[in-house]
Amino acid sequence: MANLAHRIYEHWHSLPIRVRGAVIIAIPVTCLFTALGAFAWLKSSLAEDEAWVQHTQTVRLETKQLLNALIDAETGVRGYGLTRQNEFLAPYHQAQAVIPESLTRLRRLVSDNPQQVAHLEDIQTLVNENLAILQQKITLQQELRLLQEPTNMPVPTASLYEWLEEGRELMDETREAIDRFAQIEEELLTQRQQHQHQYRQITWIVLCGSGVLGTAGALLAIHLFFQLEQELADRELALTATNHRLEVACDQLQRFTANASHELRAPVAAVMANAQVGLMELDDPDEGLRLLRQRLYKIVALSKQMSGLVGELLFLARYEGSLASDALQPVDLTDLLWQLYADWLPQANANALQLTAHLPDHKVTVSADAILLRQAIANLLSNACRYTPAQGMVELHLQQQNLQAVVKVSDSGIGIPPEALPHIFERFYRVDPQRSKASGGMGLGLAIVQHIIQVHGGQIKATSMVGQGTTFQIFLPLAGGSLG
Amino acid sequence: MRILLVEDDADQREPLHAALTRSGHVVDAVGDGITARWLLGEKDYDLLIFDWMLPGEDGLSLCQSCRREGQGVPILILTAKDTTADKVMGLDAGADDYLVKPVDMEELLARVRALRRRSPLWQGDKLQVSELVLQLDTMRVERGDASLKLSGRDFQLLEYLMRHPQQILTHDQIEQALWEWGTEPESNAVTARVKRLRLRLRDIGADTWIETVYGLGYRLDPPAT
Repeated sequence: MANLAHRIYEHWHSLPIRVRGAVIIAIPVTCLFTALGAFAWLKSSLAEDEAWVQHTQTVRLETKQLLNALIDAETGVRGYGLTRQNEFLAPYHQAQAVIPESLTRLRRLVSDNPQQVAHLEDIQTLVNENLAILQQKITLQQELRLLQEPTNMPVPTASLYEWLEEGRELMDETREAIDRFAQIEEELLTQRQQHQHQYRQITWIVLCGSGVLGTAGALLAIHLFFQLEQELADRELALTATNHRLEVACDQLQRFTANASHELRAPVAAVMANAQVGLMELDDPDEGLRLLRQRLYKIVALSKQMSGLVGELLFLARYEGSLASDALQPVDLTDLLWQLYADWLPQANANALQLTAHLPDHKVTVSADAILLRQAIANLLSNACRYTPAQGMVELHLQQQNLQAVVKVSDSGIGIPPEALPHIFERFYRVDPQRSKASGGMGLGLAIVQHIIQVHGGQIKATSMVGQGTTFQIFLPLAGGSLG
Repeated sequence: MRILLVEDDADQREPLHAALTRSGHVVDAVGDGITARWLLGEKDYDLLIFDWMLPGEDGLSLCQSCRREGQGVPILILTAKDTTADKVMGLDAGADDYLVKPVDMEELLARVRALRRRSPLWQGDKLQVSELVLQLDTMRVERGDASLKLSGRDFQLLEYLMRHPQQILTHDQIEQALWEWGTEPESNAVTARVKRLRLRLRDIGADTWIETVYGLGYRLDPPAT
């Protein structure tokens, strides 16, 4: 379950923002439309129910009217029989007009219900029979009256009773049929009222449900929206960071181009200027040759400097990427550093510097190209000697630390200002243009050191205090069996 | 012409200095922006040549401060920065000309001559005192049909004398005008240079034009015709 939720979450985050925004908007809108649809459907159902209830009630009323008309007719006829007064026949005549109309209306009303239609057919037959009997009775009475007119003798009680009883059964039967019909309608009414009630409840539940769902949907949408906003903010932050990195890289490239064009052009410009001025001075009869010789020496020196520069640039280009594995041999750093110490001791002494080595008495083996590694450390020693005033100290350390060999070259020299420290490994970067020029540096020494260490999979760090000295630390991964 | 040359690379500064001096200019050559700034406050120059990237204060900022102070002296920027944006920036900072290193020496000297012509102090390609004519571009001195090519040093002295005819110019004044900043002339250096110039002018019979005023100095005094 948690896994599924996680997968959905992952999938959600992989969607493009456009899609996610659309989903977030769609949630409350869907809730709204669902609620509206359900509500409309229930409302129409209720209206239908209402119509049915109304309809049933009309049928009931009509039935009652029919029954009343029939009873009125019978009562009227009975009254006429007893009194022979014509005014008692008025309800009967009225019923004669009302009953067919009522029956027609009823037929129309129950036309949707075949069972009731059948019932109605029965009722109609019975009613017609009843009406026929009533008619017969009246005719009988009238004939009797015509016969007895002169005597004006009252009707004998027995025959009157018989007359009255005639058709009673049929009347009861009709009444029962009508009652049954009404009963069925009554049941239908109850059913429909129940149905209506049920739908009312469902409507209420659906309304509450869609309210809850809508609220939940809105809350979810708000949550997702906040999440999206947070993500956008994160993205912007990441973009700013990337932008910053790009700016730094761009600055570095720009510095490199400016410095490189300066460094590469300077010796060419100097060679050209010396050669051209030498040619001019050749016209000078007394001094010409002497000056020309000086200029040629200068040109030779400058060409050597340029050649060195070209060599260094080619070196950097040649070892771009990483070293081929067959160029790597197990190198004992302890031994290598002792050799370097011995090589640099005379130079340090000549500069009145105290060079000391703090090296372990066992082997520290790294996998390296010995010539390159030697050049890297020699560059650091050369820098240390160059930037340390007389009577200063230069120290060479080696130690093992967490599967790494750490070579440390520290001096008590002039140091590097903090603002220059991040740039010292850049090609052609110069802390102080004039000083390094005077000291013979080319601005590529540290770039080469860093390059060599990097192609060996190592790292180099520099720490410095102005006026107190600089420490370079080289970290190289140890080769297997380093203690062997 | 007195020129301030600011270039931090000594290997380039020295031949530039030599070439400009040979062309008859007095050149103060310095290697950093701070010294250049100080010299600008101390002396008047006819032309400034700045490298862009300099220790202390860069050439662009020197250029801008000169213009801010309202100095109309021509400025030439000589640099390794070669993009169009750099050139626009350099010229907008107030430079009159912009040259990218490595520069051909002939072109540099031609541009220096062109800048001199554009200077508000320019008085023409030649100086004339009586029948003595000094061609500034070719460093030739002419008198009638005779003409003579002078060395840079001799030309500097003669130009100075011809710009101030009839005036007595003391040793001090000559030293101030003709010696570069940072060089101390020896006690008889002025005398030696005058002597050398007189020797050269003898070829066109003008050696007597430079008169020694004892105890004071020298004067260019054309003989009455």
